[in-house]
Amino acid sequence: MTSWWEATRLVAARELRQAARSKGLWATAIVLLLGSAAAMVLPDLLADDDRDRYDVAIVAGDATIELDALESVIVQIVDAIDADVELSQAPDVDAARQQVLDEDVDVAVALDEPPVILVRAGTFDRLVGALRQALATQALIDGLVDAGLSADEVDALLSAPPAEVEELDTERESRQGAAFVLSLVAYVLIMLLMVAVANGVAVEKGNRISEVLLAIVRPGPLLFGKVIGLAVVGCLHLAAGALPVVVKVLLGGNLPEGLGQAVAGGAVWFALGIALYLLLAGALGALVERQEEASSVVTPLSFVLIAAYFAGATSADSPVAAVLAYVPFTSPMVMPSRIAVGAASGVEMVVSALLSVVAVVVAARVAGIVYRRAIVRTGRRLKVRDVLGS
Amino acid sequence: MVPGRSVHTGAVPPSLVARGIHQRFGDRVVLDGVGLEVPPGRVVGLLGPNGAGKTTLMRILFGVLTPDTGAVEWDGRPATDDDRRSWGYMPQERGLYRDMPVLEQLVWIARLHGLSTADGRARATRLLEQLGLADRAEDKVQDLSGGMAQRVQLAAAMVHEPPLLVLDEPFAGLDPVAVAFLSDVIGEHVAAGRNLLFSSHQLDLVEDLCEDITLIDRGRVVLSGNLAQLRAASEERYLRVSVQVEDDWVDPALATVRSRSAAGSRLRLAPGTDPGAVLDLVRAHGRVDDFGVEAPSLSELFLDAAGHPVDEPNASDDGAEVDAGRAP
Repeated sequence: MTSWWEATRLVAARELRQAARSKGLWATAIVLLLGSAAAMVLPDLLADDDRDRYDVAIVAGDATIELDALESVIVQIVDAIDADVELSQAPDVDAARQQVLDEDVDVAVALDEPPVILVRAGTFDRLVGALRQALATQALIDGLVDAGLSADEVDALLSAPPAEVEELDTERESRQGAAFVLSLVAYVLIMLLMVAVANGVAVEKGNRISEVLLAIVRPGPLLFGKVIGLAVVGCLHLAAGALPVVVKVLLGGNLPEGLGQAVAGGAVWFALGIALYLLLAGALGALVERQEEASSVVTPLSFVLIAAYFAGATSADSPVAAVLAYVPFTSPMVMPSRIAVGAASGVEMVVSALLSVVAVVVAARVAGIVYRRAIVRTGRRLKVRDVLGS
Repeated sequence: MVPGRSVHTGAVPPSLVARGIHQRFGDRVVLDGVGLEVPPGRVVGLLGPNGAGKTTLMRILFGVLTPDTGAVEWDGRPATDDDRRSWGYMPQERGLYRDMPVLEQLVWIARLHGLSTADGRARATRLLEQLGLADRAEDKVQDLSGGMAQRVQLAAAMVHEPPLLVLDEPFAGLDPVAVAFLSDVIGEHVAAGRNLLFSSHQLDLVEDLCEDITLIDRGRVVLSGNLAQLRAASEERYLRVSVQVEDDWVDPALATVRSRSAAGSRLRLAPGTDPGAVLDLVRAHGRVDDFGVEAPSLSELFLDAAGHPVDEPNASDDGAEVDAGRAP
């Protein structure tokens, strides 16, 4: 006779061992690892190629403007918008117009009085702005020189420090991204595990393994062991996905704002959510005994999960999410997102976590009763009401 | 509680006793005051037609179901969960993880019973050798034939050397070689002074195996006791002859034809009838190479006690569907 805990451990260990044998588990883990690694590495690799590159044709015409000086100003100002420019000469305005239409160049500048910028409608706004500024600057320089200033004096005037830009609420976008990612991960993982648990229980019932096992161990370890075993499998998948993130942090890389706090704080709700949903999925799985019925029996839970996911992913700081943060079925997905966007208060976190713990305890009791009564009643699909009423 | 062992307090090996078991599923009474005793060292058969309530009674013995009333005792006191989990149970419908290797599965079950991995492996290996499956230890259950899987199921019930082994319809679907093989295993178990209960609806098949019987029909015990004594105590006598006897060969006041088969006929003698006189009447119609006067068979005992043959269709399938079962 083994203890409750030892029996639970043995049941969970069997689930893990069987999962480790399945090729699907390793394939999923490898896909997650590679996908996550790519998401961590690629942005850095591609970052250097971030600068745009423009082709600009210049029609000198009979303008008095000094061409070399203008080109140098254009290069400087385009550089200020993080782009490079390749300058070429066009013989006349018609040729330049044709080059723009043929997309041989992005923009053409005809140095008439006043200068004309040729561009296809609705394209290269930033470049056009930069070119206008370059033309104005060159006109200003020419004017100052004509007014008798020396080249050094002109340089001194133009090298006045540019205005500093102070960006506000910069973290908001990345925090919302973090909330979206967390909700998605929690949703996908809980959904997959829920079906896996219900499936496993139904198959054991159908194969009559549960009858053999119930003569050896109590119903509790059979249900809880399966939930724990499959939850660990899910967390190993999660770890495969998280490994590249951890490596990047250890190597001194930057994470999206809010992701760190949300993962640390959200782990609590994540664990509670997995426990809540998987316990109930196990009880529901005991109502049926065929694999094809197992996914349909958890459908009501899936709907709740989907609703919680949308609330967490799309509007984590809305008043609705503030309410859903306290509901144990929705808090696992809403709460980490609220932490990520900075909408969760300390009191809210404590109360929400306590309510979730209570819900898990209640779910464990109810699931235990349903499982133990339903697992020996074979033959037809049962209803929760019938099982609890008997 | 010592791991893997049921504590047995008396000097005499313990008995399993069930008393006054009532079980109702909805409006249907499945067991109506059933009692049963399984003393050590004896092969006890729980026998009756499909739907009699055998599987339900076995599930109650194991605490998988809780009866409406009645008690299950072990070693003279109410059976505890720990007692029950020290026993071995082979259910009617086989239950093994199909995608798990044979030996690993047996060791895992042994560990659930509280054995160490080393002990579990040693016992499972020995059992597999005994059951002729040593070379299939690493195969998955799904790669075994039905008969082999059945032997693994038996090994799963015995891997922790249970003091009490309960087998629900162990002979169903077995070929004669497998029946003989299983009978040997059962014999060895009780020869070691342990308890054994099995159920069957195939009374002719298990006739020679049973020492004690409990005949059950429609949820009630119709006859129970030591089989040899029950047969001896019966006033019924049968004349077996190796010829197909027609109904009009013998005066019905002396004997009636009970059954005919390729091997001959079986006539039930009226009380006080001289078997020799009936034999003479049969011989007048045909040559008799073999004959004998016999006590009633198990099927005949059942027919006399229940009032209908054991293979007569009954209310509903036993155990396959439990409509409103309750676990403890």
